[in-house]
Amino acid sequence: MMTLDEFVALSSALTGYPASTLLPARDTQKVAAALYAELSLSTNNIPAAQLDQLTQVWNSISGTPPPQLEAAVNTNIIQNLAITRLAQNIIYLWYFGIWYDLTKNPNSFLPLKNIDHVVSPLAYTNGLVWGEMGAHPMGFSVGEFGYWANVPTLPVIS
Amino acid sequence: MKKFNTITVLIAIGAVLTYLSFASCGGGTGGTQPLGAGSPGKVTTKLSPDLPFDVTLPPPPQRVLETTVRRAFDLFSWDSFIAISWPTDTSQVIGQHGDNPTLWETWKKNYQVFLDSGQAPGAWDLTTQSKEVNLSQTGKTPPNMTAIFQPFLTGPLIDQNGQYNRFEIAMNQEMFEYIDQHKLYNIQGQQGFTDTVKFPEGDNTKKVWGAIMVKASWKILGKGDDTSRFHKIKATIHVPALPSRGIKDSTYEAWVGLVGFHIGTKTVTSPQWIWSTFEQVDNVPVYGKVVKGKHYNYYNEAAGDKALNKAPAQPWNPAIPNQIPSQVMRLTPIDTGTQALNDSIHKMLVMINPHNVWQYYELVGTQWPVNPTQSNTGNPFPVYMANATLETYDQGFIQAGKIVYSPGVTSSCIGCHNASVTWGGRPSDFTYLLKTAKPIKK
Repeated sequence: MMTLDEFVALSSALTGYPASTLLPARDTQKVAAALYAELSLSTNNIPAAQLDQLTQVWNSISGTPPPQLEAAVNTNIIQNLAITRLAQNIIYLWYFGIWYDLTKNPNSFLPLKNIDHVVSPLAYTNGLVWGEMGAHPMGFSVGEFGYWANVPTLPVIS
Repeated sequence: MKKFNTITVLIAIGAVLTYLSFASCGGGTGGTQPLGAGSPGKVTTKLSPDLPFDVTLPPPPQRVLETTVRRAFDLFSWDSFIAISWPTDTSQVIGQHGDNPTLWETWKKNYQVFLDSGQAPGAWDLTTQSKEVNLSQTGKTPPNMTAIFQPFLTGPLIDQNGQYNRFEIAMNQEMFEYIDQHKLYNIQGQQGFTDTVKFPEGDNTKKVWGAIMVKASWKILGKGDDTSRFHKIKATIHVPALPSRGIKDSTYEAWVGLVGFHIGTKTVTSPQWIWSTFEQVDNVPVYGKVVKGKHYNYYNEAAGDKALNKAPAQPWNPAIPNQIPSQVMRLTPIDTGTQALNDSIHKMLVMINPHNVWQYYELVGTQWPVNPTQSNTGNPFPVYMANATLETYDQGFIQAGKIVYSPGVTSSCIGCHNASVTWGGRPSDFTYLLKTAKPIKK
């Protein structure tokens, strides 16, 4: 089973966000823990062998120096058909706060299946996609009154 | 505001309490005897009228969000509550005679600042401000905002005697003077104010207080209420007219007991303000933990939970007969560390007098911005916080026996007040008070 630290480190490599952003020292939102819990949720039907393989592959490349890490992730995880869907799901988790059925065609625009679900309200509002767009989730904003009149600002990913 | 010197209050017999031991372990009151014991001698209590300027955080290596940092903010909350609930005669001690008139009750009420005429309010004068207690609000938000907030579940809170809760808002001298100096007390003044509204900040280094606003929730005392467990005052109760039911505008006098209390404090460390909230201990049970046979102010075990935490049906007017009492539970339990601090301070209050009414108030929580510069709301913690008498119907939802919180809907002091705005359409620095201003009457 993947540990929380492994999950956060892998997530950092997959999303491009620093681990300290995904799991901050002063963690008020508890999003990382909520997303990590999805990996052991029985109703998500994650094949144990697939999760183990992803964990092993990640541990084998996690020590790669940062300049080469992206290529290593691409070669060993993204291009690896045995585990790429699970890795893709982890990216979805962070960006949308949603768990998608692993068996679903990722390119399909069919309605969500029953197994698809929003992990939690905070996972949704903290989805990385909102910051990427310079936007905020529907019905929730931390902007100052009148922010909608200003040009959106985009995050700088280090 | 009168600036108090740091004082140590000598009241009865016993040992010296060290504040640090009290702060760190939540104890340290052993060996003292209550004032009521009548023994000669001296005891030192660190409960004092010294109002803190800002929170005092532990050194960085010792800062853990959910324990040491929370404790620091909770201590700030209790220190503030004790200081502003201190007797106006500072030669006395809080609760020395059971109950006492408080410092905050001498502060300007919102209706004394935002006059119906739109004219400039009177000068800060503690001797006249305290003589008037006019409880006209039947909802958390002032009357002219009620229409805005009704869709968000805000509604009256009705006690076990069928009486509506009443509410009042007051502010300290620093907040009042900012409003007064910038002529923000009427609509035209706010519309002409082109600068950013920025209330003064409390600062430990400069030893200055910042803006403080308080919101009090009162119940009309009646059948079944143990009046010795409430801070109480005699107030003028306003009943608004409801012509469709033949109800005329009227007033009457009644004794009311304090059941809920918010303190909002603007400080250097917390420009999104520090939000402290207290309740009377008999208000409501924690969800799923009803104490059998206990009298609650807003819960009746025999009534069932069909209408749990639901606002009463409209129309809303306190003079409508046979009102159904609100059925309320606290959805989020008080943090265990906060509760330990509550227990410690209650012991200190009992030491002063076994009949000290302030022992019947508990800190429900403190919300503060963890990263003030991260966003306009500064990453508040805890994410959600509610007072059962002030955010009664916004505590969260119960679905299939589970409590569900919803960002932007479930009560968050900072999250909600972030949307506050002036009549000039500018952010009003986390207070809705400015929106209660009226136009100048010609």
